[in-house]
Amino acid sequence: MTQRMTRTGIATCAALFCLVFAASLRSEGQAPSAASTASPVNVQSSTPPPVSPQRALVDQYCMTCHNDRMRSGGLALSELNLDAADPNAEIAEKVIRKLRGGLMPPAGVRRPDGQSVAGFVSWLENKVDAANAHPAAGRVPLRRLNRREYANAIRDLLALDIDAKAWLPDDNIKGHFDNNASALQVSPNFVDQYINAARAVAMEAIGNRKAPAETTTYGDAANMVISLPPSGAPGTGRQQHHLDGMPFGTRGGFVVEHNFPADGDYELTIGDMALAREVPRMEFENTVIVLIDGKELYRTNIGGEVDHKAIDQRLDPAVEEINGRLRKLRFHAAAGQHKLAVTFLHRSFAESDERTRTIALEGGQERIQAAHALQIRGPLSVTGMSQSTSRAKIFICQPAASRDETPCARQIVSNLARRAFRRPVTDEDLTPLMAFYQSGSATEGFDGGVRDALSAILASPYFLYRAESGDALGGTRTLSDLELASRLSFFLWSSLPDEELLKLATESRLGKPEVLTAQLSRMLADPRAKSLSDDFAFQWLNIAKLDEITPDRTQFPHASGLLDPRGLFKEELRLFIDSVLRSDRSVVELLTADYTFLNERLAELYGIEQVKGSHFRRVTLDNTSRYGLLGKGAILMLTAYPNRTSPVLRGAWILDRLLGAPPPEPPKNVPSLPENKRGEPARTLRARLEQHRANPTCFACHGVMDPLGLALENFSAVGQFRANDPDTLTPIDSAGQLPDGTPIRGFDDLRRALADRPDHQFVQAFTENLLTYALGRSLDYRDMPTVRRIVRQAAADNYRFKSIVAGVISSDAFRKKEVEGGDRAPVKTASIGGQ
Amino acid sequence: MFLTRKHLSRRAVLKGAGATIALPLLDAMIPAGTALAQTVAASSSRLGFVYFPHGALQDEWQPKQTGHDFDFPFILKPLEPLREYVTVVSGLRNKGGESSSPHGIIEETWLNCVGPRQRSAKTGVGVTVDQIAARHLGKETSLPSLELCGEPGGMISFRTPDQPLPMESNPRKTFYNLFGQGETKEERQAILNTTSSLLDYVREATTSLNRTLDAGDRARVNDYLDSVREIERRLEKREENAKSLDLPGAPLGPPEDFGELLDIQFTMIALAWQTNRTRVATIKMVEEASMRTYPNLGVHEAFHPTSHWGGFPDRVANLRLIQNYHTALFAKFIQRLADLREGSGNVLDNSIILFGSNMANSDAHNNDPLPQALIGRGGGLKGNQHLHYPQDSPHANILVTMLHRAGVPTADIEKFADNTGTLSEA
Repeated sequence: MTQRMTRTGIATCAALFCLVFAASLRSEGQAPSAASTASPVNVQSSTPPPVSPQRALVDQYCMTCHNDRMRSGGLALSELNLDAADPNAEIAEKVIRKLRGGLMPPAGVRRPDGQSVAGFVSWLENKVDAANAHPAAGRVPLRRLNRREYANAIRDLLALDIDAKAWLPDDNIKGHFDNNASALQVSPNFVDQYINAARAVAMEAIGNRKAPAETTTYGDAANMVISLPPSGAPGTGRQQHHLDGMPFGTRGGFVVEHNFPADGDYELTIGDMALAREVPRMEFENTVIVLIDGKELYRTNIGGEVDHKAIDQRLDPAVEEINGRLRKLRFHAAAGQHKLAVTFLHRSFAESDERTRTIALEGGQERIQAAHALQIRGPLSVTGMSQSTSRAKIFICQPAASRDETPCARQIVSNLARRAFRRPVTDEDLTPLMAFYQSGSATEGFDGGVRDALSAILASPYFLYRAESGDALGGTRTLSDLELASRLSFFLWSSLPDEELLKLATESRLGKPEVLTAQLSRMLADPRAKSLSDDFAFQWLNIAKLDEITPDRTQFPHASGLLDPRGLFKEELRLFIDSVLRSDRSVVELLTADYTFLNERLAELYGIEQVKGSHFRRVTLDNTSRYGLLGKGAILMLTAYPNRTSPVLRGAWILDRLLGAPPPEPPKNVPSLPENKRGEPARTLRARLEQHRANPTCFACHGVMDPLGLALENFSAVGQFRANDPDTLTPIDSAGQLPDGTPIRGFDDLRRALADRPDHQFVQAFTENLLTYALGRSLDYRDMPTVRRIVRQAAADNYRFKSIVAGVISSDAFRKKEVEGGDRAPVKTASIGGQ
Repeated sequence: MFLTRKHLSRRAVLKGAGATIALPLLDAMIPAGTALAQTVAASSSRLGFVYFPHGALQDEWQPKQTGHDFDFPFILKPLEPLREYVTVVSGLRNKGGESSSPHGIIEETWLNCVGPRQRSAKTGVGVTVDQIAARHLGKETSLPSLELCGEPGGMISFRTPDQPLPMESNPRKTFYNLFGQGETKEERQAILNTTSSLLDYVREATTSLNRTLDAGDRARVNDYLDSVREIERRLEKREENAKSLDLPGAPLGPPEDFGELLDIQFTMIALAWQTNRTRVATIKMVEEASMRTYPNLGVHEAFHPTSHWGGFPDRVANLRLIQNYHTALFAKFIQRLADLREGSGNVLDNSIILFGSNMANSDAHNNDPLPQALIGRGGGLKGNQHLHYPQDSPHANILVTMLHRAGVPTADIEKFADNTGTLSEA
């Protein structure tokens, strides 16, 4: 039985609301006295308790939809327990995330002002954090090295660069990252490939005196027949420019890293450059130079008056003779990996090879000689086995006599196993490995034995799996120093712990705060920490999506096909993020930094002058349009379609990746965007998105997303700046409004609004992603107090990256592990980046 | 034979054994009476698709007579000794492959008869017939299908409308794919042994590791152990096979001579069929618009320009030589299949191979009438006939006929492209 409380004082709307309000006060209200007496009974004698401002806010703005009856989005806020000391954290975190993202209340519905929202969110967060002062550490299940980590581990263990993509299967991605323990499954095919890879890697690292004269083709095999660039391959154009990494004074060319199995004679064949019937590329002399590890091996000339005449007059035999200068070039190479490069002497283009530009920019054949493929055959004869860098790393001793072989082998195998297994090795480990040595050396000598033992190490689960021991008793345990060393090195370097880390861990000194701090500094300064940019940041920002977007040739003839800018954009972003993260700067500078890294071609695309040369260098920007992540071509391009921009994609990306509040999926059967039809007056993109505004169901989410994306409308789908809409040719209107009502006029205002938020939501989203990546598991609501604590602590240091990392590695989640059988039951909640 | 490490020159083998050799090596591969030979006998049809570009000069390809016992024109002449297995088909048109810039799409439309724009992941339109066949015939073989080429580039097979399959130009890679790593039989066996030991070690090490883990992690390790056991099982099967097969050494790579390369690639198909590694194979002999010259035939002008023969009698002369040469290389392959015993007949009795092009007149760049021939007597094909169909008969019909004769269910083929039913042999 409910009482109708007429004196609510706040609620103005539904009777429903009153019902809820009344229900919550049921315990405090008084039922009218059943016994009537002569004295008048005052039914309303008790004063209802004062309503907290927070409850008032929720009642006013949220309860219309999130009440017990309607349960919009599956959420009934009555379950939030707002007034209790310990609110329902799971629901509270959902509320916090939506409010921080500005997604709730939905756009177009009455909402409180920005300050009130911020105040409420703070209050709720503090309440949750107070009630969860010691959040559970969580449990990272057993996980294997992913493909990336495997390749890095091989690099560090054996000084060998392998093309992991060619040998190993793809990894599954869960949430934003490819190192999620529960996503890294195994299958029989997987085991098969890893075992094959173990054998092949061991063979490459140690070398093979009995290697057959195999032929390896680099580049597209089709280009051996005629050196045309593979169609659509990004960045292979501009062979007339100097390529980064080649000697100065050269232009264009092709470089490969090849593993030579033994010292000996090898043969190089470069893709044909002369064609029967087609002589335009033979007009001028082009000096071809072949280099091995930067040293000149061979040079010859292709083209010029003599060659040109010869082809004209004698056709095929002349072509064969000219191409013959590029075939079967013999050379001697030492065992190991070497860089083989084919390039051309850079000569004056005063007599240009380019035809006068026609309206349709050519995206196909270049008129100058180019190199896009080569073949290496060998060894044709083996002369020995010198100490390659890989062998030097493996053979830490050499047996002087045959009785020294087994003890030396044992030393070698122990060393490799210790590094690969990331812990001191025992006799139990060594016995089976030495058995491999014995059987291998019986047939193939000392080298063969070591090679077989190495295959076993690389196939071993102790190498492939990052196991953290499980206490059979259950509960939570602190990770050992050795386990911590692995967590640190895979977090910051995506690779094995090095000698120093292993030593400190074995001596149980790694966990000491001053040692850990020193190691953190050392690790961040190490070049291996570039993994934080290449792996962590690129995955956080979803840069891999760029690989799916091939820019449209008709729309962007100057930025597609051979002139595809994606490689340049990625390089810029990599250098930029690396510089912010590792030069002691605030992570907010990812949004606001006034510099970037450019080379001549990229600067051209950005409309920046005075940058010459192919190498990337740091450039201070005059124009604010390129400041920070939102001004970088990589991001502007991956958030667009191949042929046009999309404010929706951009807005959704900002919400998801920069603010940690992904918008919900669109409903099914949404019609596609109306195109501009011929014969009708053209409309701007903003006008065509009109439906998002007109329909309140659409506007609920699009009202939040679209203004964010429209603020970047001045950047085309290939990341170039433009003042006018491409269809209507009128100036672009990029003004809009943020969810909290703040007006923004364009990209500058958007950038400032994101960076200057008092609630530092960008830093929090960054930290959530960093913690997810560091742990290798999805976060859930129970981890949010940890995230907030890290952010708060880093505030004192202006959110410098190092402080955030320090916060991550000192958290319980990083240092401890819940063991199965402990208190925490598995929870199925949405992970970061999922919905 | 192949250029193995022993550098056994193929020419040396041929010289020693006489010119009409059917590759003694292959005979040695499956000595009659072995278990594998019996297995092969039990299998049913195989399908092959052999493509050449730039069509064929019509009056040198299409027999003057229809029906049985027709005269073989010059380009088809190399197939004459195998007359009993040859069914020339004329009059077909591939509307889906027609375009003003044919070289762009012509390979892609030969086996699916729809233009690139009609390919759609939603409707499944655009999957090529070899892949449709592979879905059925490839169920019990280790490779669903094999795609090879003589010159790299271009695409013929589409497993799904968006996914063209790569065609392998390196016979060494193909060999490894089919038979596993290792140069020689001894090496292959050695590698199998090492893999076996590695798996033993992995299993034991994993069991040790398991003891240190908690309950949740142990469940994951059990998944890993299951996978290891599965690989061990597969390895045992491979070892059984390896013992009974007498495979040649692995080729070192693509040989210099183009004819030799095509020969090896065709031999790969024969090996793959013989060992039942797959039952569907597609090979593109030469690249579309290829600039290859044929010095061994005395043709020094590139293939593509030669194929534009209008008004150049020299080119016509060269073109017919090239086209005859391609047929000769193909005919060697067919002869090999005919010499491979299988059950009471040979491999060719149980196979159907489409030999043809998606272009008709290379000078005019048209697609009608297409030069096509069905080789083999699989699925009840009679052989020794020239079937001529009325103008505009859909090319899709011959593809559908092949699928039907190979036992692919009707439901999967009735809606294929613009087919109007299977072709009758009457």
